[in-house]
Amino acid sequence: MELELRGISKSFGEKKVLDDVSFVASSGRAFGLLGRNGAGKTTTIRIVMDVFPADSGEVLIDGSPIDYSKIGTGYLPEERGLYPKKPIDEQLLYFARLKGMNRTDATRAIDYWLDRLDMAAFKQKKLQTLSKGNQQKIQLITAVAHDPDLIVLDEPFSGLDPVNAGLLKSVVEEEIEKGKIVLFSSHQMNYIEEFCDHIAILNRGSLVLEGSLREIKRSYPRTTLTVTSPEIGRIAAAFGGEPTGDALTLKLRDEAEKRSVMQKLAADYEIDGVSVFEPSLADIFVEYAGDAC
Amino acid sequence: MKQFKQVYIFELRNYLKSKVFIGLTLAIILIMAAVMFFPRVSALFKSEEPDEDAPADVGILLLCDEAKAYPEGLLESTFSSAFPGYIVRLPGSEKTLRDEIDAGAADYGVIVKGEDSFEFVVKTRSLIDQTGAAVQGVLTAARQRLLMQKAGLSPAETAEILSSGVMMETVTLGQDQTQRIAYTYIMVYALYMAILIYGQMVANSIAGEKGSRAMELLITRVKPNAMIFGKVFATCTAALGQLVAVFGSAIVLFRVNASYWNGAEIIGSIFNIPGSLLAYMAVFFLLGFIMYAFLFGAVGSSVSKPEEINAAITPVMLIFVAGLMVVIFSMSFGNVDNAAITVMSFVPFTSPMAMFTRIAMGSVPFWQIAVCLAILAVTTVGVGVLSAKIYRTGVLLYGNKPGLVSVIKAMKKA
Repeated sequence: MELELRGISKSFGEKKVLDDVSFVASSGRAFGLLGRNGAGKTTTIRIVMDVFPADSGEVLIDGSPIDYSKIGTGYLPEERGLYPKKPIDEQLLYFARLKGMNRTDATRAIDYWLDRLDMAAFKQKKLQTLSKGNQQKIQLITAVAHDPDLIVLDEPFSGLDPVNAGLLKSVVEEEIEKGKIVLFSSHQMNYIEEFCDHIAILNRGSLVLEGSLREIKRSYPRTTLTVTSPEIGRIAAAFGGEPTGDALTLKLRDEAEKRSVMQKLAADYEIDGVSVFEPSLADIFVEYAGDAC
Repeated sequence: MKQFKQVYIFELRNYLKSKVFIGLTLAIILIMAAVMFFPRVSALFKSEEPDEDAPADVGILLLCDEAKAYPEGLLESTFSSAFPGYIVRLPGSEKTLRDEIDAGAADYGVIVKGEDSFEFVVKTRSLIDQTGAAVQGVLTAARQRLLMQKAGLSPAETAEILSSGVMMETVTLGQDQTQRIAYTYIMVYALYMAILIYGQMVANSIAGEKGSRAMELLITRVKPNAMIFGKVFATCTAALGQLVAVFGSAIVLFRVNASYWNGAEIIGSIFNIPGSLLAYMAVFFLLGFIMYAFLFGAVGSSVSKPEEINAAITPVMLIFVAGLMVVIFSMSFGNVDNAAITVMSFVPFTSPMAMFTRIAMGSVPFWQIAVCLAILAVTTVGVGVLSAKIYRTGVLLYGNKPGLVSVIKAMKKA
């Protein structure tokens, strides 16, 4: 299955929030939607979730306009919040039933997920008695319990301790394996890098970068080497540059030089490691979305 | 429709599970029970009193005729027969009388100053105590009797003159307001309280969902119309349920104790509402309540937090309270067909109270009722549609009090 946004534009009053945004997210892969605060991520997500329509453009599933009565959607909003004073099972049932599940299926699914996320003991507790991380897990259940085809997770890892983050990671991996379309939105680049094959970066309502993360990284010139060596001082003297600890970054004039430089390093010095430097997602993000807003 | 049903059931269950809701209902029923059983319980205590001499709560009345205005023994015998529940004593001097009353040893004192004046002495004068007037009546009759006897009339003639009087019978051609004022008051206040309490609950429920950000999730799964209609109708059901429980138990409690309420015309009249009036009451109550619930819903969706509701709702409440005032004053003055209340009976925000009062206590041509109901019904639907729109726009606006004005602006743009 493929979710495609084609030429989406949206204005609120005078302010253009989205301008001709297009991207494709496929099932079985996670898609990362990135952008600074106010770049238009939440508006994009709300259009995908049918909260309001786009001014122009289309949301398509496998080439035809999305039919929300057939395509199930699950959403973990960045602004978390359920009913603080209601028992957990009661509100989970309400949210599942609003998605059209019958009582039996909903109860079964909720029990499964409470168990899966180690929350079964809290079933009848009021939400406000739970810690922030645990409340977040309950919120995650509202996004996945009705087995949606399209899952949108907005900042899913914020506020989770490493153990719960690990649990959430395994859940997300499971959903991706089941063939769901998973749309991620986050500022925590390391998680996006870990999960998402495809990314799109929004900047002030426009799409500035979209594609396979692997290819995006490959597209950068491979002219920077990172060398680690106990003899880093000597290497720096010979090749130039300022070492940081045991490491040195070498800028090459062009890619053809790479092999000869590597051979020379290996022949003349004691080397712990040499690698071609690749930009991290954070570097790419800053490059594309980092201009002053 | 399916979503409406889910929202309706969820919201209604919230009410039925709420301790405040259940507690309030039970408390009102208990108070009602206490009132309804009062005459029966007090009758129970009275019948248990021993009838023999000097019962504990018999009052003491002191007489002092230092002016010697009446023949000796006359006052004592007159007062003893006129106040059978009292022991009548003659303390001897004015001072002893005052001292005894002041010490609480006696209830009332009568000091005759001359043939045509007396002092009524009491320690604490209560608002509803009519004893002074009764004493005046007894003394006046005694004086009249003396004067008539002086003029040469026989005691029989004197008695005949004093007991003569004229009978009065009132024939009511229009509405008997004395009969209807009680339940009109009750209906108007019930509507006022219901709108105030439940309207606030609708607004709170929406603003609460915004405040807790549950709204973020709700908007992705429920259509705004299903949401606000579900909330309003669930609230309406809860309010009606509560009213039926309260008035139903009142009727049952009254029936159980009816024989003890003999003679209490006002209470009796409350439970003898004509069927047609009851039907009008139901229609006006429903329409008025739903319209205001939608308004409160719109206000709830135009604020960010429940704390901001009170300020935002003030303009709406001002209209409503002004209406209430006019209705109550008109009722008190017995003129429910004055210009102000007539105008208000066509303004949908006040017509449920105003028109009902006019129907119950005045004379309204049927066409006016029909026009009023039509305006009210159309407005209720209009307010419903509008508040669903405000809701749809308002729920996504956060931050510094969005306010109704900016919501309406946003609605135009959206």
